[in-house]
Amino acid sequence: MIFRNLLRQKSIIFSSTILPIVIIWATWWITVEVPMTFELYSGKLISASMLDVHIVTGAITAMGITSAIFGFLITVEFADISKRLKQVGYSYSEINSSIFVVLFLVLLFTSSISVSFSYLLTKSDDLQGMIIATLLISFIYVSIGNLVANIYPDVTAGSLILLIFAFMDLMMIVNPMGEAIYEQSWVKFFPGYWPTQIVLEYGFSDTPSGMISQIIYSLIYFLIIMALSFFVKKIGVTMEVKK
Amino acid sequence: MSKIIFLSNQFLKTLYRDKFLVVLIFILPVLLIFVGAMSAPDREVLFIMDGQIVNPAPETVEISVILYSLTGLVLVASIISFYLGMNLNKLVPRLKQYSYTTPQIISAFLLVVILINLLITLMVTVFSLNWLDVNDMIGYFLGLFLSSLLFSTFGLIISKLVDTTALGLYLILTISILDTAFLENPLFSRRYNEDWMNLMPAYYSIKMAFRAIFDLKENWYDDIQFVLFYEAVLVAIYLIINYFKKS
Repeated sequence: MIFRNLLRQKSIIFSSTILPIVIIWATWWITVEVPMTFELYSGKLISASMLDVHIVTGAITAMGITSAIFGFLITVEFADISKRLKQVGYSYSEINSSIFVVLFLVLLFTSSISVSFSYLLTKSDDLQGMIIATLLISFIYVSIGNLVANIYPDVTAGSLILLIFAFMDLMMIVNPMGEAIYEQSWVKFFPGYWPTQIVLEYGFSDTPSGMISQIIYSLIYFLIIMALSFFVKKIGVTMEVKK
Repeated sequence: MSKIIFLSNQFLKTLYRDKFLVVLIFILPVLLIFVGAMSAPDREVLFIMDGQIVNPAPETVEISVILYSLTGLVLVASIISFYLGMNLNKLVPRLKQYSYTTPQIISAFLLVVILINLLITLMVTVFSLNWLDVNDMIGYFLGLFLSSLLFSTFGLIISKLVDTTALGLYLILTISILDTAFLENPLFSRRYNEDWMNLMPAYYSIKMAFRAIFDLKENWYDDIQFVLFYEAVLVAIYLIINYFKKS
């Protein structure tokens, strides 16, 4: 039922299939193929094609945007439905499990599209780093979507905030394409930093390293946002939204 | 005339009631320009425009600020006109019952859109001047203003085509960012010098802004007729869609 309810919405279909493809394809189609140099967190200096760097980070961006929107929409849409389902005899654990299964299936579908499409377009033959980074970015951005939904559950404003935040984080701030800002030490506190480092380390370095620590940092980030989201819900700071 | 002003006031109140949009008008362009300026490295770039090398060579931060000023501006302009357009679709039947004529509604609506675009353009122009040394201020302002008008019309067209706000916003964001931040970006776009690019909505208005800032042979107003023609085409498309939707 939850899955059918999601599929009925054109915006869901657009953001889970068309949007990731458009973002990845556009980055490939637009970006010029020139060499660029950037430094990884591990200290390695990488020289790679700007086109390849932009495609892999484009795939991460596509996944980040989709996950954030899903985390947000599922939290907003099912807040009311959960109450009604509870009245007809479903337990909270059953409702939450089915929402989780739907979220997992949609994100699995979208990440398969993003990973395979970017794998086709880039010269980087790394799949391991790409899959792990996509998974981590999904976790982090679903939790951010959840947090925003708990603070400001307005569909228009919330999805716009998330789209713009994800775009700025993954395309401009933690992305080596934004050279000057990427070199700042404080960017590692942004949600997309560690998954992006994994995809860059495994995609472009001959001797990739540090994956475990980067996964741990990403998971810590995810847990902090989830805890914050839970706390926000618990203390009830949700802003009123006109229906 | 008093009816038009009263109605414009009502439209502005509708907009003001949605505090999020008011915040968006002020925050989004400033944030985009700021991050765009911070992300640009401190070096000069070889920039070819109108078949000549721009001399003195512009810095990446200048190009980045111009493009992100435009991105922020067109995003806000198209989102606000989309939002007003969605409201207008619901309001028109009621306004007609209150004896408002179609020209009055359209005039009031246009007045609001132009006022808001002037306000955002002014704000973006002033803020972006922190990083830019502009040769011709009128050309730069008009380049930005005309692009905001183009994308406002674009937002109106989308408001007629989609059923849900979320889908409309995705479309606006995808097309605006694709055009102004990627395709028209000479720092990394390989399509920048291709002939078909002049079909993109922001193409000529970006040229106007570049010509007003850098020392080039052409005047900033040389291609202004194309921007106006593009705007006329978009308005015609909007009217056609409006006509078919009614019938």
